[in-house]
Amino acid sequence: MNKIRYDVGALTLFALLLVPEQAFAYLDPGTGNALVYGLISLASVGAYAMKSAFYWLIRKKNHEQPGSTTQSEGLPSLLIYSEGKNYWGTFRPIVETLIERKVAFRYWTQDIHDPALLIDSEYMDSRYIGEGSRSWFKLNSAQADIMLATTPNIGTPGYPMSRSPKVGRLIHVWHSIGDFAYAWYHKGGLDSYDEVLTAGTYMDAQIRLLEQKRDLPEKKLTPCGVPYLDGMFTKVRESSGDTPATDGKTILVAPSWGNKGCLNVYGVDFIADLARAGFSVIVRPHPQSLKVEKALFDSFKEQLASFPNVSWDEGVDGSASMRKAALLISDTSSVRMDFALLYERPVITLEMPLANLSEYEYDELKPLLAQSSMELEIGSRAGKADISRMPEVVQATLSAHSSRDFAAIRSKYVAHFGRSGEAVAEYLITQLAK
Amino acid sequence: MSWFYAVTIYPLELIYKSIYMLCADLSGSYGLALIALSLCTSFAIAPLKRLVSAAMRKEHELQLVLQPQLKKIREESRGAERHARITRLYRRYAYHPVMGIRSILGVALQIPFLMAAYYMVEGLDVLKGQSFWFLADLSQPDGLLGGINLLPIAMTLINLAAVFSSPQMHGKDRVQASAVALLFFVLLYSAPSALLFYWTLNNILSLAEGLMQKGWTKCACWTAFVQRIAELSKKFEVLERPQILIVLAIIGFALDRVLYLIIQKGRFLEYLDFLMPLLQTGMSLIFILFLLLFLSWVLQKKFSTLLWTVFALSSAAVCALGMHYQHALWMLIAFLFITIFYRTGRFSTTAERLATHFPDRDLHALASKSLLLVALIILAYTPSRLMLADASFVSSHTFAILIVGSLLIFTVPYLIFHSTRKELQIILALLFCLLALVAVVYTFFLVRDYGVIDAYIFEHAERITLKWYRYVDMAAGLVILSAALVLFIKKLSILNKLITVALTVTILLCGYSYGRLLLADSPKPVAESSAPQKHLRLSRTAPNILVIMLDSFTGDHIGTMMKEYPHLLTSYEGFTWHPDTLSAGECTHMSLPSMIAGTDIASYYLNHDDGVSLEEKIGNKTDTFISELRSKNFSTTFAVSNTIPYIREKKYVSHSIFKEYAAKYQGESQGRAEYIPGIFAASYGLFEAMPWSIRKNIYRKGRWFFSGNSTFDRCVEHYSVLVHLSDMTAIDSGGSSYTLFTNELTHLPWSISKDTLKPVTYDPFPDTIETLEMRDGLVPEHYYAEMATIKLVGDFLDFLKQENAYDNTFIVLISDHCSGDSQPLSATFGNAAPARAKQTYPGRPNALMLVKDFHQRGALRVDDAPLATSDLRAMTEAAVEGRPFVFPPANRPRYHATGDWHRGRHGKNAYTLQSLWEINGPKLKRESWKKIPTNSLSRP
Repeated sequence: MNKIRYDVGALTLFALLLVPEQAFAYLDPGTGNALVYGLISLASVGAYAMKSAFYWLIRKKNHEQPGSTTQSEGLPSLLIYSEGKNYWGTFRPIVETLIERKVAFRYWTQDIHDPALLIDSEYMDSRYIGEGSRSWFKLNSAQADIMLATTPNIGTPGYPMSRSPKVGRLIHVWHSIGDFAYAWYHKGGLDSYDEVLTAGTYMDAQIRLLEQKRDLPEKKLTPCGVPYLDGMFTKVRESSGDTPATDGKTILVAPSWGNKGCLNVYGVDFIADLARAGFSVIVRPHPQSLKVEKALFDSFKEQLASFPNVSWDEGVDGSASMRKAALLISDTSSVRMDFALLYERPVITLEMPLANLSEYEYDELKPLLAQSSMELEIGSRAGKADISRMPEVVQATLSAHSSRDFAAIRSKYVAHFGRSGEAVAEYLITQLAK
Repeated sequence: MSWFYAVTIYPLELIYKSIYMLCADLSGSYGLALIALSLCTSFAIAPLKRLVSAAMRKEHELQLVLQPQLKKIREESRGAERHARITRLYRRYAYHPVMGIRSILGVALQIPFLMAAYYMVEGLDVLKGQSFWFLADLSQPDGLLGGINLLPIAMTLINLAAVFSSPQMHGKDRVQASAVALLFFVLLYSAPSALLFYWTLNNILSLAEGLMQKGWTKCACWTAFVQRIAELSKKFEVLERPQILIVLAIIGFALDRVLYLIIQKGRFLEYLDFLMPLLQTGMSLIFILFLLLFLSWVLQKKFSTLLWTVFALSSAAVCALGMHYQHALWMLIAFLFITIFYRTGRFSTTAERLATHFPDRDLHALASKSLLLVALIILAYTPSRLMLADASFVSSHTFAILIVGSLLIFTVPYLIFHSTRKELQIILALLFCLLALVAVVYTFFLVRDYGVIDAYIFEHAERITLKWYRYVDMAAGLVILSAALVLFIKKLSILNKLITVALTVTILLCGYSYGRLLLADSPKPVAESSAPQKHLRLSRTAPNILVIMLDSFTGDHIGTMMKEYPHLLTSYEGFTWHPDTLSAGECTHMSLPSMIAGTDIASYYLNHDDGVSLEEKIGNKTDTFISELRSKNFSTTFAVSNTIPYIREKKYVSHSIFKEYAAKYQGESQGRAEYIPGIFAASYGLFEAMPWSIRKNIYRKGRWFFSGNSTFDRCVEHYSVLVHLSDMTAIDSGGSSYTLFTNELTHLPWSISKDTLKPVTYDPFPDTIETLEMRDGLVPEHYYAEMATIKLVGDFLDFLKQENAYDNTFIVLISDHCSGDSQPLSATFGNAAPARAKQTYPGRPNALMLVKDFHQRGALRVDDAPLATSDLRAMTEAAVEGRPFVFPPANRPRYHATGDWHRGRHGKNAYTLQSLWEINGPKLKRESWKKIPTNSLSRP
């Protein structure tokens, strides 16, 4: 049907171009060139249509079932929806396991650069659904028994995507770690979901609290972990032999950007102090900082230029710096958990003033979060009072390191550490079987 | 005309034409107007170009992703497998090879715009003989290089420069594009130079745009320029403050009032001549400011501070220039409110709260549905009812105009809505929704009946101006506004649903109407209103008296015509021209009463306040005259303009008669009339959707809102009455008749072509920008209108001869006053080459008097006997009684008064006499003229 529509469209267009013959006399070369391209494209469309017809006939002659190009008959009952390539880290281990287990599923993405589209598998019916209203329309009328997504806010007022009535169960897969992970969701972010594949059971209390407050039906919670760590963990394991472990004297400073960034609040004096105290410091600015606050960071660089033991890492992949570092100093960034769990090394969290958070779940989770001990479990906290004596704080945190049980922290915050993707896929397969 | 042309290009061509003619009017040059048009075009199609490049970018991006994968597939597989893999790849990326031509869709979208300009320039007759800059004739190829055309060469060189300077094009593309450029060289080599000039300008602009986007961004001087513009915007930031804007607005308004008062007193106008360049400079400044705005917008990719600055300055300036001051003022007020709301921090907290209260999705849905509803009601639903009622409106042009109109109504506001900030979007969505609700309420519920529509004229037009309408509107407005506001704030979703229901119902109704239209038998062409109504009557057997009053005809132009165009006067057999005729007053109301009813009600006699209004005094006299005629068994017809209040028994020539014949004329003459049904349908849709008290602004005394060019329309009205003079005259064998018929084709504004003597939409003599500017002591446009009038009246005289009603008819062609462009009289007063009409001698005394007695034949004679327009009464009396007219003694004094009588503006009981002149002897002798006190004459 689609093909017919396209071909009729092409014919109409061609006719349209033939009618105003004078038009060609009034076009600039650029436009003329576009017309030539148009004609070439038309020719290739024709060739493609003819080929399609030819192979269709051949198949028909050989009594093959014409038309179907994928194994999946009808609509596979599992649909994975991805916002784009940034979420491929989360979806890749899941998708790979599903293909390995020969389970047919659909994968919809709004990003033409999503690496998922490169996979040509008979089990995976992947589709670029476009951006903007076209894709929202498609998503809002999606049909599936199970729809898996990382996107919070589906179905909340003001968000373009609503929960499709034709989706049986909407399942959220977690893609960040820590006590505060849920707190940074916009209010009502998970309210329309039926199930949540949590990072670990520590999240249950938070989710239940909001369900009670809002009088929502209880979601089914299954601890599956955080799939994006799988790939990173494999990488760390594979590369740990290549480079010597940390020298114990290298500190990585990785701030967030904008007014959430610790350098914007505390400045770089503490880095100078650390350098003077003999630590090697690697500063890794957030990629966004290099775009929008370049002047500020240039002045930081100038201030630290005289210290040969302060270096700047502006590369795409931060794993080399992480590998070298004995300790990480950061703010609210989720890189803290990545660093602590993957490398089993301590983190100093710089306290940040809280902006207006009324739009976030934090607002309601406050009482629970007050008891949070995560930052102390993975390292220590430092505030305004401590900033002038950072070398001491760093030293103290490093010395206390041996007393920390990272295996326990891992299992508390990430279920199925290192094979979360598999866990998610297996859970989905059992659900589909039902 | 093909359907494609009618639907896509014709409406655009009309828009182009109006922009071009407006620019030509403003700049006074057809060449400069080409430049302006080129700028406008570039500006207008800029969004389309952006669309095209976006589509191309998307395609390019996709190809970057697809090509490596396709290459891999081609390497790895063959035949059916390869095809299957390619098909799967395309499916994954939701791609089809046909999408490769999506870039061309943008081009196809541009084509109508470009073709419209092409046809417009091609079809412009006015360009004939017009020179501009180095071009001798814009309608011909230039032939500047010893017969070889320069412009096509220049154009091709610029094209090639564009090709080779564009960083987007490489190798193969460049060869292709160069070939296309050379092809155009061949195709357009001998096209009119106007077209090539326009086309070359467009190319220069697109070349500049390309350079601006690509190469120049790295150039140091360019960066400096960009910085300068940005600094400039910052400097003007202070103007964003509302209080400064308010001060500006007040100053602008005050200036406007002063200028308005000065200009309104037309007689001071000549002293303001020095202001004209200033005014034009002001306009140019505004233009430059807008250009700067455009640049800053392009460079900074956002509406900058400069936008608001320019709006503020230009609104104030437009106000100050007194051009459409009311509109400018309203715009300014609206702008102020928006600015205050939009720019000051004061509302920001509310705005933020509002922003979270109104979800984007609901706002967008409300805005788009409301706009769609408005467009549908105005341009689909109401017109469909109109077309069902009267098949004459069914034409491709009507549909074209309605389609383009609805696209405009929908797209333009929606784009504005889409590109603004949330706070503004909230206001706009509410505004659109209110508009939609008003349209629904008035179109479907508060329906008024104004009688049948005949030739675009309402039967009961008087119902449109009823005063109590405003109370209904206020009540309805209050209900709509409060309901909408409450719903908007409390329950946006319900409001949305309401609009959806209204939209669905409207769509269904439209579907029903258009279905019926489609299913209806082939629309019958309008029955040519079979027999035109006979408004005038003459007898074939009994004596007739026919007075044709031609407003503002300058008497001695007959002498010029006798020399220059004698063929125009060949039909005037038996006529005598009296060049020494003096008009009683300088305006119609000071002259016409004494023409009908005699010297003793001339303006200079009536100016004593005895508690009786002028209207009554003159009315009584004309009544007496009419009863005298009736007593002698004369039937009487007064076919005069409805602005003449003192003839109580009359047939209005304006309104229905004018419109009827104007429509008839336009129907007969090709071209312009074709789109009128569409314009009317659109106007009528708007009319029905608007509150009752606003409707008088949409239907203004028989003229519809969108019908444009008033000069042309007015000209056509009077012209077509003259063309159809014979059609509207009944000749029978009944008793005697007296007819007074007035026509204002010779009254300004004038729009008659010298060559065809037919109405034209452009300035017939563009060398003089001002209406009253003269050449050799004569206003050419006026003269052309007089020539057309003499020709058409001549045709009517031939008709009378044919019908054997000529010899038994006493005919007078007379004018109430001249138009100030009498060459001999100017010379008398020592102004051999005056610049402006009306200023060279006192008042406008040089009236026309052409008289044909019963049974007179032979070539046109000239009689130098001194006459006054008020002698017409005595002439008429003599003719009625069948005796010869006795000329008054040559030494009697004649009088000419200057001044005015505007009903309403001046006192009702007296004329405003400014000066009174006594003429003793021939009027072309300076010593005959003596100024006397205005109150020195008393009624004889």
